[in-house]
Amino acid sequence: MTKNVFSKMQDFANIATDRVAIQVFLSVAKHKVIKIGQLEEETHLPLESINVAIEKLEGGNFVERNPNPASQKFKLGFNGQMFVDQLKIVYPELQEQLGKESHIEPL
Amino acid sequence: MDLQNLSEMIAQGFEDVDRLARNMLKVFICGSHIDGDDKDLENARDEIKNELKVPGVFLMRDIETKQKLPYNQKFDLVWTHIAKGDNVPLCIMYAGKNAGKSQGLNAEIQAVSTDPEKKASTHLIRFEGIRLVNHADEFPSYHVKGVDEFKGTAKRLVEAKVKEIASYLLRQKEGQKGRETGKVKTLINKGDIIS
Repeated sequence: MTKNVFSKMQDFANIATDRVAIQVFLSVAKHKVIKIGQLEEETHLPLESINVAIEKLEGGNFVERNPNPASQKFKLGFNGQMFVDQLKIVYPELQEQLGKESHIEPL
Repeated sequence: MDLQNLSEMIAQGFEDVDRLARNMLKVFICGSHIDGDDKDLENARDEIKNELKVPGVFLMRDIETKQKLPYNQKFDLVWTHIAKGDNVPLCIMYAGKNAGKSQGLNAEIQAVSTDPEKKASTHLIRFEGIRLVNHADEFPSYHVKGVDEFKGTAKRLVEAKVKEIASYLLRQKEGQKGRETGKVKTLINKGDIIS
C-alpha cells in the first residue's frame, strides 16, 4: 500500500535533513551496489546508525535491497536515482564524487 | 570536499523549507512530441528547472525503459515507480498545436482518467481549438493561445504546488517546535474569519 502524500512529505523532510541518512545515501550512489560492511567502512558510522538510515531510505525508495529482500547489498531505488541527479544539479561538487553521468537507469 | 562534509552541507541546506519543497516535487511533463511540440516540452522543462529552481523536472523520454512500450504503458510504468517513493508528483500534460494528430497523447489521457491517484496529480494545458478524446474534459484544463502562455501556465502550476508543500512543511515544523518548547502556536484563533 502506498503512503499518503502528507506522510511522504514528512518522511522526505526527515531524510533530507538527516546528515547520516544523506551520507549513507550518497555512499550507495557512489558505489551503485554496496554491501552493509562496505558502508560501515566508507562512512565510519556505527552499524546501528547505518541500519536506522537504511530503514528510512528504503521506506522512501531512495535505496533498495539487491536483489532479494533479505540481501545485505544496497542499490539506489528509482526515487533515489532521480534525487541524486537533482542533487548533482544543486551541488555541482557532487559530480566529482559521483560522476557526471545520469544515475537514472532504464525501467 | 568529501562525502561526509557534503552530506552535512546538503542536510543543513534542506532546513530551508522552500528549498526542501522545491526538491521534493517531481514534475512530469508529458504531451505530444509531434513536429514543433517536442521543442516546447524541452524548453518548458529547462525553464522550470532553471528559473524556478525545481531540479526534478522530467519529460517522459528522459526516462528510458528496457523494453519499447507504447506511450500510455510507459507512463503507467513510470508512475508505478514514482508512487513507491517519498516525493510529490505533479504531472503536466501538454496538448500543443499538433496534439490532435497524436494517438499517444489521447491514449495517455484516457489511461490517466481511469486512475484516481494519477488523475488527482494531473493538469492539462491545451491549445485552444485542439480536438482531444472526451476524457480530456475530466481534468483541470487550461486553454492557451501560444507556447509562451503554455510555459507561463506550467510555471504557475509548479509554483503553486511548491507553495502548497512549503506551507504544509512549515506548519509541521511550527508544531514540532511547539511540542519541543511546550508552546504550541495556535494557528486559528477564536473570531478568525475562515473563508
